[in-house]
Amino acid sequence: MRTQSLFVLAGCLSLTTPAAATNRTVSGGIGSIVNDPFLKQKIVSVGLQYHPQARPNTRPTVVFGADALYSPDFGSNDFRPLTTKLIENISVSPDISTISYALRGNIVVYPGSYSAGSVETKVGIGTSIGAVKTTDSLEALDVDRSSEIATATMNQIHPCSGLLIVGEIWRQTTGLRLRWDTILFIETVNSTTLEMKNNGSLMLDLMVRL
Amino acid sequence: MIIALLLSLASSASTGTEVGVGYRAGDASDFDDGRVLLGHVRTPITSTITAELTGGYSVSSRPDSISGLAKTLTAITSYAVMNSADVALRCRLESWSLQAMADWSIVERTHAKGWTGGPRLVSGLVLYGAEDYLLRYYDGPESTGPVEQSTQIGAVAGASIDVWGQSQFGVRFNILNRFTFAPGVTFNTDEAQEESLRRSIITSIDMLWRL
Repeated sequence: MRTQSLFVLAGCLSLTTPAAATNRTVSGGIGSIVNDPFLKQKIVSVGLQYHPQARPNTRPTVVFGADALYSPDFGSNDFRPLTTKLIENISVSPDISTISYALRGNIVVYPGSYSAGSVETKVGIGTSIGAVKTTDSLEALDVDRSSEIATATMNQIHPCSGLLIVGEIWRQTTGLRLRWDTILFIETVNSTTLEMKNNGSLMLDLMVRL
Repeated sequence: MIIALLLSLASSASTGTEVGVGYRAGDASDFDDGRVLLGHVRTPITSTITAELTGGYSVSSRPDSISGLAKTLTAITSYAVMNSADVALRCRLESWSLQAMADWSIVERTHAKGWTGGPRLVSGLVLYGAEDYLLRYYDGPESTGPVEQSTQIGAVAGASIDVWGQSQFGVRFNILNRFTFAPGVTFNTDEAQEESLRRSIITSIDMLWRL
């Protein structure tokens, strides 16, 4: 534990060391959650990344970042055909909750990068922690707002963690990033059911070096 | 493309040809939770385009590889209808597959030394053996079959992210959409089993060796 604390302290100090050349990027992206059998949620996100090492070509690079994602709620238009069939044909209501937004911090390690002419590519793997807000679908639960059990846990904020795998292509100060991003959290649906969610999203980001 | 791949392999093994093995987990949103072992042969067609032939074999015993999602859906649907004997979910399981694909990297990386890596765009065709089972729920989930065995064809499109170290070994992560025609979700045995275009998400991880 003490060793881990020293590593964290060293990481924090490296962020404030004047000698470290800084490099910041901002990003905006679109994507969707791809592994949910009941929903097809779309996502938009914005992020900020901080590179303590300005020249990443000769060693593994650690990048600190933060991102905010928002998923618009399109109601039953977000349902997959299986969900619609369950609700309309068989009157079975799956416990559906949608991600409304999330705020997360992340650390990504890039083992190296490769340049060919003016184009640079990078691959990284990382982890994230933060908070995610979910909203239960009362329509899928087949209840209205008068149901106290359903509305009590309709809107919740949960701690979350996740895994990141990223591949980037840069040309001068502009880059494209392909990102596999998981959001792991535990929630309560309808005040009665505990569910562990591990949503995997595929995102495409436009990145700009400041 | 397959012929070009084989000809290239036969003529030379020093032009950036890669071989590899991989592992593919089941799609969480599908009824097939089978684990699949993969074998790859890749050869560059141009400096940015690589052709690939991938063979897959499901190492999970069937029908045990029917996913928990399918079993749960059958259970709750059986409770919801009057005569649960009518409820049967048709589950299509994959036994083997053969994919012919091409991927495109914006950056030329064929003969690069040292650390390389980046995203690639992938597309191609897939041929696979399918076994259809009927899943019912009595005291618990029970499957019968295969009620039908067939060979299916589909298309794949997606992206991969690969990274290569100082040596000739690389690691690759794939995210592919697989488009195939499959039975629609029906729970009633009297209901017609119409096939419709179905998209599943396939993620896999590979170890690659450059010859």
